[in-house]
Amino acid sequence: MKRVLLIDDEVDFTELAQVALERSGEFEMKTLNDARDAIDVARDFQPDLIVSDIVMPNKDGAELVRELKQDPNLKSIPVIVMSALLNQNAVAYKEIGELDVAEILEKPIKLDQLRERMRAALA
Amino acid sequence: MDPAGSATTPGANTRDDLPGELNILLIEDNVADARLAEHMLREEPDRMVVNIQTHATLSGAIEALSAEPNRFDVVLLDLSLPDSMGPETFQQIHLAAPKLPIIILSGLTDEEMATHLVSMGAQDYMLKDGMEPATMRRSIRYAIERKASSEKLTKLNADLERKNEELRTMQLQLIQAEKMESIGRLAAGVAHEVKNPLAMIQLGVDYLMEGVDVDDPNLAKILGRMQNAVVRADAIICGLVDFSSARQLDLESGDINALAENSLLLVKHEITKKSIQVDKSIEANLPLVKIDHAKMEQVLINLLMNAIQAMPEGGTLGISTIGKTLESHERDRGARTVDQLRTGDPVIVLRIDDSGCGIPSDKIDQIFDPFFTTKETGQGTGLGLTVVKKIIELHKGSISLENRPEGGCRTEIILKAAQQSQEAETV
Repeated sequence: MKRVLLIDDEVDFTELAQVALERSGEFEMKTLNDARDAIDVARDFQPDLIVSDIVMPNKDGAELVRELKQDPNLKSIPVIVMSALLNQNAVAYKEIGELDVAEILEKPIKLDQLRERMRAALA
Repeated sequence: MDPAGSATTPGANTRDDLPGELNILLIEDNVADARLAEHMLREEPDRMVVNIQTHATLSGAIEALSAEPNRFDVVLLDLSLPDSMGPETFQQIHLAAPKLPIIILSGLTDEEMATHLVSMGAQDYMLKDGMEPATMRRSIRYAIERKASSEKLTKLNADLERKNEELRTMQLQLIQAEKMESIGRLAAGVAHEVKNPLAMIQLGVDYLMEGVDVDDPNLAKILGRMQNAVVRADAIICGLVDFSSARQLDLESGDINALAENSLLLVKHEITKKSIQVDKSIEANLPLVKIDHAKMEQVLINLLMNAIQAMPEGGTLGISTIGKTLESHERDRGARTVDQLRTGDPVIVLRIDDSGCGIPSDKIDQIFDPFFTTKETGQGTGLGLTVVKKIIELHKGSISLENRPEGGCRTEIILKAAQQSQEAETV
């Protein structure tokens, strides 16, 4: 089972996604609602994949990815970022595009597509 | 100072605001009256040169005025001429030389008419019986001055009105820009707040669908409807953000033909699925245009999909490009959407034709309005063409949509060609 750390400021979303993604038995999910704790949790949890929202109040996804990529122990973990506001936001898209991420996804996303992208990032 | 020497052009003023050389058109059929007037006018205490041309008929005077429109400084006019009587005489002269001051020479019997004509635009009137050199000179001077001031005022007023109009237009553009700015901010905020809950509903629906009870067919049906609702809400939000965020372009020189071919490729699947014939007429070696590739591709795909959707039973999809010089009537048509193209501009015209059912004539004026759609509920967001028009306007081009006489619709985009031709740029 692959270990996945999911970060999104919406509690409802992380709860729902955890249940939905764990059902197939492929993923062991850990969820976080504040990106400020993500680095510590990642060091402790040692995930195989990190899935993070971009627009979050205390620390945004772009900042988190930059920190992850600077950490020698975490930089090899593939990261999927997703946001409700990407395709329309060229600046944010470009900023994220310059980061080393496995996938950029736009919310809402279908469950099977999300799973597929996660599998691809883990492969 | 010698006023006669320094100012010989009519209308050029000396220190006391009178032309140095005074050119008078005297229109008077009574020989005695004419002589008397001439005599008095020449009796100048200063050394002003007075040229008098006398005509006894209206037609003769009008001929003189049209032969040398700028020759005279003032007209002295008797209203009763062999070929014209009363106010008509004044109106004819005024019409022939609207900028010339006219002084009516009036007998005692028509003084009332003379005052009436002053209200109609004559500068002054003189009673023939009471003429004397000093009053004549004063009347002429005041007439010229008044006429000059009123001309100046008219011109200044026209300038003011024009500037005012420009200001109003600019103010409207500013308000519009500000409005778009706040709609943009609002839309982006709303999109984020709505798409996140949509993401949850989406995952929830998918989760339930995967584990749906096969014995209850309604469950699958309900979840399917919910799924459609998510897609629809998402499309509307995307359209709204698209519409309000399309403010800036990433312009590069581009080839419209390549863009057209590429966009056709992207909708090829739909074209094949609906057995649609493609009638392509592409003019080779078109000049390049400054375009935002991604946004123009969005425009073309949107228009092509509209055309395809208008022909569910198949038909012919026409796409053509031509380079030409913009003619005035086309500009007028374009001006309905935006006034950026000028007659004589080198332009590229791109047309997309379908052989579908066309657009009801009472709806065609609303076709670019936000949230207007002729598609079935749930099929269109009503924002597609609004965004398309917005993008074309940002490119300073124009777009029009009309029903073709042979049936179906024609969408025409006109974009200004860039300065260099394609060959010139590759050299």
